[in-house]
Amino acid sequence: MPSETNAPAARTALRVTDLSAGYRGDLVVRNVSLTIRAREIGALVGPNGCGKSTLLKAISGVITPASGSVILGDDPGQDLTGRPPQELARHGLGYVPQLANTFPSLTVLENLRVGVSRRRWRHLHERQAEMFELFPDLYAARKRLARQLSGGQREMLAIAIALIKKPSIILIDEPSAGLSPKFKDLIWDHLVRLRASGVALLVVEQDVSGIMQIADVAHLMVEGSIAMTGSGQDLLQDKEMAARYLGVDAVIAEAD
Amino acid sequence: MGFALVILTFVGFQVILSLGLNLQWGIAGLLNLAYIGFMAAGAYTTALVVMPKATLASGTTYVLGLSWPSWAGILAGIAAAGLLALLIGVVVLGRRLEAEYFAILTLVIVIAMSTVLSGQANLVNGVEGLINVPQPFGASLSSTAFGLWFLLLVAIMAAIVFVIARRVQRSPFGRLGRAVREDESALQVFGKDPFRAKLKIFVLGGMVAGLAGALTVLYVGAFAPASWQVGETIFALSCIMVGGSGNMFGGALASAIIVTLFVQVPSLVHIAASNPEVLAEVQVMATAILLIAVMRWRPDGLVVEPVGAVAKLARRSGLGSGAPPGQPGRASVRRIVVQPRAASGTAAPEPAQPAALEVRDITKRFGGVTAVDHCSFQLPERAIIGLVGPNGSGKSTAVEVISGFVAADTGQVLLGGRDITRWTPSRRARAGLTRTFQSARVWNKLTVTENLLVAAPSRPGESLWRGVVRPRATDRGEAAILRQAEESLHEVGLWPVRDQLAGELSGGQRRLLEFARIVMSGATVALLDEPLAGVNPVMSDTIVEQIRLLNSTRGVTILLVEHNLKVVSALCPHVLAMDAGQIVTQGTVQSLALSESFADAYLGKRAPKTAQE
Amino acid sequence: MSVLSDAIGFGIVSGAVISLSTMAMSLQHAVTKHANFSHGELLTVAAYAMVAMQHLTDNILVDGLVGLVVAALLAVVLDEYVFKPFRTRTRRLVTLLVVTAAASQVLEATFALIFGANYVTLQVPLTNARHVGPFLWTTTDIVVILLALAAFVITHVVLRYTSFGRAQRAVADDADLARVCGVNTSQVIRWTWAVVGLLAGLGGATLAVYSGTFNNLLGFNFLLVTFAAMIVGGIGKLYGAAIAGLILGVVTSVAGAYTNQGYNQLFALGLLALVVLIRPSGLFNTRAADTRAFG
Repeated sequence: MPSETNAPAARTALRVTDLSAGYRGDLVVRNVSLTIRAREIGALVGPNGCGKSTLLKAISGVITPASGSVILGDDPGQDLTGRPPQELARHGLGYVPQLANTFPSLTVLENLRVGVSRRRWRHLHERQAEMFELFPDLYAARKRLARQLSGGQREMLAIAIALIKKPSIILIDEPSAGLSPKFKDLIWDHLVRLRASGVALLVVEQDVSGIMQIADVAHLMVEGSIAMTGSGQDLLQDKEMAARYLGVDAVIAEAD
Repeated sequence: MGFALVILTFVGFQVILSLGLNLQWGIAGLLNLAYIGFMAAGAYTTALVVMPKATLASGTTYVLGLSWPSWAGILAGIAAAGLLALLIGVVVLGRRLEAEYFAILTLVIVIAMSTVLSGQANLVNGVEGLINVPQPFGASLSSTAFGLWFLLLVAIMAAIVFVIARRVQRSPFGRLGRAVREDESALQVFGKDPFRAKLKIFVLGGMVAGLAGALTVLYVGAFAPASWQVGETIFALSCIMVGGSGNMFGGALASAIIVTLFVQVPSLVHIAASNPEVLAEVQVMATAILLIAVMRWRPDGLVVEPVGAVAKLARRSGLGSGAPPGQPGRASVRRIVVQPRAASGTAAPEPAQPAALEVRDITKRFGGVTAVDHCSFQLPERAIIGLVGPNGSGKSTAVEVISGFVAADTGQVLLGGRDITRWTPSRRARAGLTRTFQSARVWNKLTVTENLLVAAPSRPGESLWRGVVRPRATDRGEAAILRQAEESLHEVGLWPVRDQLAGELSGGQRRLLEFARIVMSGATVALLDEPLAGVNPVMSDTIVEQIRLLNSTRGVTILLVEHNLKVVSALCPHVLAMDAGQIVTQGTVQSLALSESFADAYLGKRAPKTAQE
Repeated sequence: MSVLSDAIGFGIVSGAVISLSTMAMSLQHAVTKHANFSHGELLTVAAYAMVAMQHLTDNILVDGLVGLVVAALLAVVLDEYVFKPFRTRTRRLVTLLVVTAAASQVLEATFALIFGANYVTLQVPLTNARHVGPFLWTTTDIVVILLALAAFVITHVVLRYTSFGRAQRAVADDADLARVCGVNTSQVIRWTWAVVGLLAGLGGATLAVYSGTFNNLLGFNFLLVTFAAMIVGGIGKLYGAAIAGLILGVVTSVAGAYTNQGYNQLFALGLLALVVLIRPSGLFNTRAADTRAFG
């Protein structure tokens, strides 16, 4: 797929340092640090309620972090911690929330153009063609309203909305949630192709085995902090990881 | 002297008017833009029944000619306003409309009333309004004497209304009203009916407005549509907000001050007096700006209420001494080490009696997605059963269906053998079924103790009538509940924060409050929806212990929906695993953890059982 | 027969005016998610601006244009300095409702102070009535209908085919997601209010032309039919608002012709009550009603 990212080749796509965030004074994310390199898929897994979604929201500016820093690209001066989402979007960060990630009453074509000014559109017009190459299903449905799409199509559209703006990194929250196995495989496929096209990804997932198989680096998050880090394949084989994820270490140890 | 009398009389009218709106808005949170319409109903009715027959000399043709005495006129006015409020309330409040619809409808109603009555020449003389309404106390009094007698009347009425409003606010019924304002769904879960509470306050407020109208028309002797526009409601709202909404004393004080400063004193100033129109507009503008300013910078009002009602109640009943009943005083958070539960013999007992809760073949579809798919399971009496499963497995929908907030497409829900499938949530609650929500739904503007008192089942003490007419007896009746609440507070460790507003508590404390409320409600079956979500790990142990106590000490059957398997294994001897809307497997946590299929489902290693698209 | 057709004819004209006011309110609600009880004052300010302009020029169209612009300005200023500070600070909807109601009072008082509490008169050129099909319309009537139609078409085109319209619809759908996509939501909201002001101003101008004389309550008294039409047409739907406005105009006119003109507000109220009780999402909302539980 012929495309480049916006910025000149940076080595680090995203560096999060000691980030903490929460609601109503309760910290849900506690001192999280992670780095995603350019053209890398990073996986973020963990039991529900551990703060994965909140972490993505804190990085993208949807909620304001309590402390820590978020830096896009190599330049440490590009500290975008707590900036509004529009600014982060402009600097090359894409964010695909888990739910409410498309505009239901707009058509597919319109969805893709939201937030893109007329000027920028002239450059991005080719991108639209690339999107449809990547997601042929969307092309067939391009004039339909987003709310008329199936779950899988909507996820594709959500990713395309972020992707069309040529981000350097996209944060994706549970892309395979609620999808059939066939569509899940399609999603993994697409994520790999995205990486090949030069976009870095930080993917939160419940389908651990699915994402681990394609992740270059994986983090296990438990109760707000990163508990384990490693390559996707390594962590997948790791018995301890499974135990920590389910939280039944004591029981499993007994059974052994 | 004459001026002072007039000022004070109008202050009296406004105090009464504000108190009525403070009941509707300050306690129940109803934004009734038609409020002034109730005053008008009272005024018109009183005028119409009090006026004598038309004569050729008076030239009027529109009067009923009943010539009732003034006191009967006042009663008629109050009754008419109350009736109107009842009518509107039944139609508008009963539909569970959102606050915005309610405000829009009331605005629209008052505009319609105004237009219709302005056009009604026959009965109320349209735009010009009624004039020559006979004064009470006989026509032969001098104006000063009349002024004094009337002021006395108004003062007595205002005092009575103030006492009533105060009692309502401090009564258990008033607490109920304030909880309605905060969160109605949470009330349903405790078996209370928000509609009836709202209706009663609405009608009471309407009657108070009617009284104000009756008095006004008897004093002024005339009444026309210009006297009752939406602006008057906004004016009353200003008084209330300055005084602190819900604060009866503050509202009365603010009314007195605002009326004096904004209305009466400027009227006396020479320049203003010669430009009455300008004055009127400036007054309107000033009070509306005051309202906006107060809402922006001092939303709690400028007048502080002296003492918390419940604290006073506690002291009067001799409670609240601080020592937990039967225990050495230890109010700190207790840290218990959680042991994983060994497989006991009560894993999945065969029910000899009907299960406490049974779900049969429940299906629920939202659009194209089947959230719950022919799901069936049972909760035996006094069991704690866990319900686990990945995101989107249908756990939350199952809870919504069981608790009655969402109607299932097919299937049945049985509570103790009874079919409750078509019951409302509050009816289920009255039968003993309650639940918590994914984010703790406590009543933020009520204190911790008040939260518990409202959660206790409906009792005679919660009636509006008793609260107003027999406050002392009502308080005494509350003493037993208060003791229970005390005990509960000590048990969950919330005693130190008992007088704090629930909104100020941390996430974990709010959860504990939810459990204490469950105890207070006397529920026998509780659905706990992710009680550890968003809770500090330090608090987790306490919460786990409280859940265990809820079950072991209080005998509450619990369905625990949780992601945290460590917690589930500590509490639940038996666990149901849900995936794609169905119960795919069940057993002890160990057996599930050892079962590869369970781990795989969680980790996504194998495809889910039903293909979804 | 002629009574009926006259009534319908008049109803279409008044429906056109109602549509303008309702389209404005619908647009505004879609984006800010709360009702604006000072909406009527946007109409009133346009009317008063026209009266003021009449001192300068006799051309009623120019007067009207100025009225539109003034209404648009007021709308933007109101939101920026009065409503927005509350929207960003509180989550309680009722607070905003109270603020808009209070703003309504302030504006009404301001109008009375500037222009006096008495009725003011707008000089309207008399035109001939002629038969257009079964309806008896004056040239003014026809102009009003055409203006309303044009406003609808232009607004529709803007919403559907411009990037601003797309951004506006995106913000109406999901403001948070729009921000994530890089949309400057504050600016979109500001410009939406400007359009709202223009539409409401046109409504006010035409209303003033029909009323001839009016006072500071001109727009306020129009709130009943406006809210009724917005709710009947479904909140946030432009074409629903337009059609509902037309329906309300015809229904109230016909009902008023056969009973008593003074009662047509009541019919509007009746229609509104009916819709609220039976189908609160509006007659034109194709989406299924929320899954309601019992009780």
